[in-house]
Amino acid sequence: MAEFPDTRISLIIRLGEASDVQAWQEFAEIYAPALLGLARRRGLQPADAEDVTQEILFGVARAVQRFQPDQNRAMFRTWLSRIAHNLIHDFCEGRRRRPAAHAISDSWLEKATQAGESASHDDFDEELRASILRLAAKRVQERVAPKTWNAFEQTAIQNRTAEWVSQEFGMTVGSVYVARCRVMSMLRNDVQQLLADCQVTPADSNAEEGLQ
Amino acid sequence: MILPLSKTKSNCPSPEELSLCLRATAVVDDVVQQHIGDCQTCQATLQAIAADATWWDEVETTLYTAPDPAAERIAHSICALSGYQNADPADQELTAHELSQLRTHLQPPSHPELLGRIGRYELEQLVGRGGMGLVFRGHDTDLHRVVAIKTIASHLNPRGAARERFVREARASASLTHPHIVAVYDVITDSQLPAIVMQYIPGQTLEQWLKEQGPMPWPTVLQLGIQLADALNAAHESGLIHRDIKPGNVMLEAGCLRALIADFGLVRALDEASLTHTGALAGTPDFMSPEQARGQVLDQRSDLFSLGAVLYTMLTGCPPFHAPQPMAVLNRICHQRHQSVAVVCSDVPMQVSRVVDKLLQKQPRKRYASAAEVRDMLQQLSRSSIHLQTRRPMQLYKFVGLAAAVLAVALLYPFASMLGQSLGIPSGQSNSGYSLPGESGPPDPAARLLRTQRIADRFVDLDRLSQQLQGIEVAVTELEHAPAIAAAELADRGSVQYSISSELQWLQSEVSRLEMEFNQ
Ligand SMILES: [Zn+2]
Repeated sequence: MAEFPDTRISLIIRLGEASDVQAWQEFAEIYAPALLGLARRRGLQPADAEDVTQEILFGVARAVQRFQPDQNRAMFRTWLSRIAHNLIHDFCEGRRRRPAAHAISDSWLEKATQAGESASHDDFDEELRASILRLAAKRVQERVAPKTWNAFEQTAIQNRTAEWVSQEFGMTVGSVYVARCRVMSMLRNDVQQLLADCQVTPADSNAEEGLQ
Repeated sequence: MILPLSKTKSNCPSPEELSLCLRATAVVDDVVQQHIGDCQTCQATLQAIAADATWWDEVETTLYTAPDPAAERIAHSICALSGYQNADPADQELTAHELSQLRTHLQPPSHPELLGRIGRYELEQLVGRGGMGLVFRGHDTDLHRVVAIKTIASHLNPRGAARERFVREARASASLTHPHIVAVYDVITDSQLPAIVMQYIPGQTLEQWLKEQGPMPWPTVLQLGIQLADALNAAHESGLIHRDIKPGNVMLEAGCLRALIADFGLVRALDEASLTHTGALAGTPDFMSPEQARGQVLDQRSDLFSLGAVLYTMLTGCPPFHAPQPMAVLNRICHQRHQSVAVVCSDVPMQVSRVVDKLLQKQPRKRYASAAEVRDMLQQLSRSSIHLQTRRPMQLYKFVGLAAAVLAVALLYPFASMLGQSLGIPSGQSNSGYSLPGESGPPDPAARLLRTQRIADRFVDLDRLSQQLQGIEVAVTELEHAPAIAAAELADRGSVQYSISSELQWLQSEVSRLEMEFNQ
């Protein structure tokens, strides 16, 4: 499916280039919720989670310009995950105040990437998948007719039956099914594209395999 | 997953046909759609083609819970940092979205052609956009005067303790009265749409002015600089730091003769109170001080740095640390020396350029101690501005005479030859037209003078010599500030081999001595 331009450069590489606003937006939209989720998982209070996320993204945004894409592209997620683990850990230990301030200093990155306890990246991946899914959903919603999205949302998320939606919104049951599956299909495509960009392993193998 | 293909009825569409229905733009045949509605097998097939059960589960559990609003705030501030240059503050049309937002927050207007009301203030017309929200021209129905009303975007509305701090800050800034500070009349935080009511200045911001007209003549910059420094001094004396001095916060009255500083402490206070401490709100980081960029504790000298950056921008048309990315700007502010104004604009007198250089010192203690000191310095320069012009090498020639110039060249000669290549002037070594044959090694001062006199004789074009002198002067200024950097640059540019020697330092002192002589 050609929902995306095929020659999509990796998001992380684009960030390093001169003010690619769209890339920055995507970066923030994916990583802010994921890091926030991770920080909350580790038991940080909402305000602290917000602060630490801010610090990580601010510091990373600055450091990303120095990224060497060839060697590091695949490592970005792991790298970010390590920074997140370290800073969240520090935060829990109460070693930081005014966090965003640190993100500017040159030693920030060095300190933030120092190998701490060897943390698993699994829970970060989970958060990343969730925020990518949200972003994809937001984009698909913008591309389809409101009625189509509604059929998907009511049946796939709100747990309504196709019959209920059909009566409530004056659609045939068949069109509710088509709409719901079409949105799902678009969503899956977008998610896989974004996951590939972020180098995250998809949650499962896709359904085509089952059809062969 | 194995689909029940074997059980497919004869009139069921094939999986291929079904998968075509899922194309984003496909028009599905009514008969097929009807069939899907009735046939559970096809429903299952369609669903499996779209995604397998794990996907459906993950989508349901993830999207069922609402996203954390904090994520949006953070994303917003990160994007604001990267995309600030995309916003056009001069765009004075309200978007449909803004208009509908406003309608829900404002009380209905008393006249249909007005936008709406906040308390006793009628909003008449959008006149600008700032980091924190929209700016309207409005009317105070009690005092019957024109006012400017800055609304605070709802997502920035400070809460709890932050709100109290913001209100305190706003009240403090309301206590400032000065001819060059925009007066704050009222702070409204109890309305649905918080706002700051202030003096309305007909005119435009310095930012808009510079965008339309380019750099200002330096005597005008001196005049406006005196006003800004005086305003800063008044605020600093009452214990207030602005923290966001930038062209967008300087109002110019029509005619460009009077400048007023707006938003004392307000934007940064809001920034710190409401979200980030990143300066996202303030839009551009171009005018931040290094200590501010690092998030350190600020004192009034931070404002002096920002003032220096503003004066620099007025003189050259471009901020001293500008880069396409805000992060790069912050990096430059903290780690790189700016190019002196005199290097960028040769028509700006050296003394003016030096005031800006001093304001832009990375370390607060190396700047002026107070805004009053800056004001006095600028005043002094302004009074002697005719003299300043005469100090430029071309005029120096006319007034002081050839002898002085020759002396200057004599003293500067070794340096000049080193710089020769980088300045595009043939050096003594490389061009026989300017050198004496058979000489090598550093000559004694008398020989140097003699040689230089001969060289000067050969200069038919006096302008050329004047340019050379000016170039040397600029280079020496660079050296004063960062000998190592300048030397590296010069060595690189001209591939001239030399080290920073005591001779260079001697030259510097000679140049200062000469300057003092010429000044008298
Ligand atoms: Zn069927």
